[in-house]
Amino acid sequence: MTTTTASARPGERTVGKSSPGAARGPRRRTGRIRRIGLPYLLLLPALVLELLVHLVPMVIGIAMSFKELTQFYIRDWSLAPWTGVDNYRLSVDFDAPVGRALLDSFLVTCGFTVLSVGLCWFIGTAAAICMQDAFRGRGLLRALFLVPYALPVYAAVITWAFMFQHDNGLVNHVLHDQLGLTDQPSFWLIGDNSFIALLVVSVWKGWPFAFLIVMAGLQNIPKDLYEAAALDGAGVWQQIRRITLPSLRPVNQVLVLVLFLWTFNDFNTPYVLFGKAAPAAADLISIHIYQSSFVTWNFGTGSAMSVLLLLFLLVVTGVYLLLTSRGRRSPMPRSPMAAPRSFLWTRRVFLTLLAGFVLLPVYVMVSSSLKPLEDVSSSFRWLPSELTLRPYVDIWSTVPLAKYFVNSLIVAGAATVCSVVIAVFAAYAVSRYDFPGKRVFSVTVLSTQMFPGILFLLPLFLLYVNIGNATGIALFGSRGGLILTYLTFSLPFSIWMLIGYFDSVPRDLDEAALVDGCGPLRALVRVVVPAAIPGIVAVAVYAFMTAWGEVLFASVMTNDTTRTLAVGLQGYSTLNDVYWNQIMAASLVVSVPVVAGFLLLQRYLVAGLTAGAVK
Amino acid sequence: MRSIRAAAVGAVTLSLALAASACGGGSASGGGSNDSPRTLTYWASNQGASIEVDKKVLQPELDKFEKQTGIKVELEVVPWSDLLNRILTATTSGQGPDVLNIGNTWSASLQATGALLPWDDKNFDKIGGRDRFVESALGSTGVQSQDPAAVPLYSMAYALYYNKKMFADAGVTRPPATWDEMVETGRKISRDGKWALGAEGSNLSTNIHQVFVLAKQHGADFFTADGKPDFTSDGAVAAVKQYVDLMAQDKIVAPGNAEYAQNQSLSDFAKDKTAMVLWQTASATFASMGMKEDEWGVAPAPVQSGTPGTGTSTNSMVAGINMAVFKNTDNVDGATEFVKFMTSDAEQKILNKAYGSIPPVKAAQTDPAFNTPATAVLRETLATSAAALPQVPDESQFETAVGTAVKELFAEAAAGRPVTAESVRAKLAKAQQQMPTK
Repeated sequence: MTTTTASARPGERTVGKSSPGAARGPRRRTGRIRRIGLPYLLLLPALVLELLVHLVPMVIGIAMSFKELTQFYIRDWSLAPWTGVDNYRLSVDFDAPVGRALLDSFLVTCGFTVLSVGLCWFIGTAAAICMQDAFRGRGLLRALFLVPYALPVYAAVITWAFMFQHDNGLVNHVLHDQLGLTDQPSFWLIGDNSFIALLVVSVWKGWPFAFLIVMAGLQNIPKDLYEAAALDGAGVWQQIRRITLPSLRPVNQVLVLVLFLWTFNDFNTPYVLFGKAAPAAADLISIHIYQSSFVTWNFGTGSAMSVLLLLFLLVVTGVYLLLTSRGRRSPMPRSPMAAPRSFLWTRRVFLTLLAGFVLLPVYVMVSSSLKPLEDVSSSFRWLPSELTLRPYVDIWSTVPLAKYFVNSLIVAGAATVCSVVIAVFAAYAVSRYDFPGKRVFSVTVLSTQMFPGILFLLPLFLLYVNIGNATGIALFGSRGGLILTYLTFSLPFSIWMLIGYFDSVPRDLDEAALVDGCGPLRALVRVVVPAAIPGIVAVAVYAFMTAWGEVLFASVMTNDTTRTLAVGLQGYSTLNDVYWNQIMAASLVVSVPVVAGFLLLQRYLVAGLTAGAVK
Repeated sequence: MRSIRAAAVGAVTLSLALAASACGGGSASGGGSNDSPRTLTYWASNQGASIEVDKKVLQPELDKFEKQTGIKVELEVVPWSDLLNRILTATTSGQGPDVLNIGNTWSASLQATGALLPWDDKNFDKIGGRDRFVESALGSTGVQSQDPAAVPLYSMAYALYYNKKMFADAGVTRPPATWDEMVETGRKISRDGKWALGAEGSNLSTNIHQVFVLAKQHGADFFTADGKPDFTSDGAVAAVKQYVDLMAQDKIVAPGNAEYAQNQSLSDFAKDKTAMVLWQTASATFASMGMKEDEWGVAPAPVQSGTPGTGTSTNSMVAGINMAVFKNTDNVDGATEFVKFMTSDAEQKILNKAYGSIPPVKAAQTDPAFNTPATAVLRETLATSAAALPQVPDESQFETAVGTAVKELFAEAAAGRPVTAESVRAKLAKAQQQMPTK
């Protein structure tokens, strides 16, 4: 698999580059052999992981859905009686309470998803368009806007939970105490308002992703389109309507789908915001299924519900792709008109409001972390009564934060490195080779994005335990198991992004390297990878954040010694008092490295997305 | 097309093979062994003010045990939010600790999984016999007709804690003994941002504990004698309504308490914002919040009329922690030895003193530490007027279903919506329908 000749020396590839015609000779000669084995070999790690973490657990999950898997049988579920389609019948019998509750939860989730995705898309697109032209402070604003995306989910959501508190939260303080908009302080985390609370948090967390993708998409719109339109006299609004939005259609197609799947399956946000029993108004389907399986110990019915959810997502995705793939038209700038002056003002107002929305929780986090306990346990105040660094000292002893920190670093770091390497190999194979099964691989890998985590949580756990029993390799409860899980979670999106990126790296480059006598792997490492650095950094950032912020699997698969920050931070809320100042300080401490790293690398991220995912 | 089919066949075959092996679950290890007699793993529940506090309390005792027996005990203190899930996954996988603490109300549910070592007479004899334990504590160790799934470790009971300063400020001279007195006293106190009683409206477990006791007082049970859910009896509806009405109608519980689930009411108590809480062993927490012992008092929890006793005069559930052994342990003798150590008279005194709980071991109760005014009320309640929560396999589902119903009713009360007998019955009916049918 390595170089075929000894003549390949670094620096020689410039020679090959000048004679692309000669590339065909040697490639033809060795091509057949490589074609048979190499692409599969490159795909193998990704394939094995997808099978282990996604596909096999899903099949086990489907098998479970046909069993009566209650507490009487969990010890050895092969003994659980087969029940045929009883679990499914129970789930879809909308006249009976179990089915009725599932339907309610499904409808709540649909409403929530439509609103959240719509708002995320709208705000993200509007912000990206507002920031298409250069103006003073644009770089800073862009970095600021990416903060909600970069913050670990639990840190962000816990801050919002604090803001939504009835007695000492910021929201009631502003709405009731300061503006007098409500007769009495409202409840945001229980009762019907919880839907609004959930939506606000979800939009706050989600819109920067839309912003990022649209921003990348905008960079692919040829400048001359705008120039031509401007020559014709089209104003800014006109250009947005006739050029920008139509040009973004292919980007939007993917963006909306990804947002839809993530929002529909979102577990972390409601779980951190409401805990195990979400209020009826915010009973998202993933939490509902979690409760049906893990809290009431009925894994058979829970699995059946997950399978139904998966089927629904498959159908929606299929229909969506069918509908949106038809009738793509290229934009045509037309009809010259005068530029309206309103655009600048709209932009200023919109961006200011948005910056306020983004900054509010960040402000609460920072200011509360510097307050004494009295300040955070009584009515909300904007400024600390006295500044104290005490919370920053106490966080390390209240819970073993440092240990969790190290665990998270090891897990997220290792998962990132492995994920990038494996994704690079797989993407290279798909991008550069034609081989039987290529389409199946691509489609399968991408479709795993649809899997509700809750469907394969228990099966995956069982699988790890059994692998451990059979081979002595401890996966369950170890960091290794978590690394394996997380790297596979980020793999589909990473592979998909890198395929796009590698496609944009001219083939001539690596073919030239092949001419020089490089083997395909050396060509990949020496030529393709350096040319694809922005894409690879983007993938690394994504993989790291996925691993750093995951809650569901970490809560089941870690123990005292391997607990990560995502679960460890909950330690503060199991104390006999709620130390909001410490919780905020800890949230800040665990966020700083990720946010800082993210902001440093965000340039690459946009570049990587521009050339890769949104092409 | 052929490649798709081949790939699909391959994937399914592999999946089934792996699934088949996954079916093994915990069955690989059946009755326990003594393969590794030198070590034990122990999951403790979080009893102290924090997990770190628990480690400090337990580690010296574990070291003592190691010195006596040469068995090293690996300790992990599991937060309550994780404990049931961790036990569940341990049960499913067969990979758990050797010894663990469980909430005593889970005993029957966990017993049903068959994962815990049954404490038959032979096993009880190894730790000094069944007679050493208080009868009420033994009543919360599993289904009546079966051998206990666990051994009592710490006992607790509900009592009424009151803030002396707030009582004095409102001119209240003695704690209420009945619910009528509670409402009457409560109205005197609940004004000017002060409230009479605290509640953890979003905490499913405490909701269950309170409505269970009130149901007893109304002569009702949430389960029939043969273990079927019976949530909508008049007594059960009256009980739930009475509890929620403390906020909805009597207005002696602050509406904000509807979203409490993390002991915020104790913090309100310590800050002179709430005058009373119904709690189990709150003394250690009050101390950690800077309250001195003479700043609060403790009295038996209220009854409908008369004085606490059995039946309709019940005023507490039997709260507590049990110790269980996983059946598939590879150090079954060591595990039993460890349970014997932890339930010994000496250790019982040390541990229950540290946690402010009452020893379920009769001999240990004679220690003067359990006869202070604070602990005497708890001990007396346990002995005379506490009842065990239903010992049925569906207990944890009951806690979730009815606990959530009460939580939702509190949310409605807090939002100012009326809570009627009909709305309570409807919520309870829904909860009952969510219970497993088999």
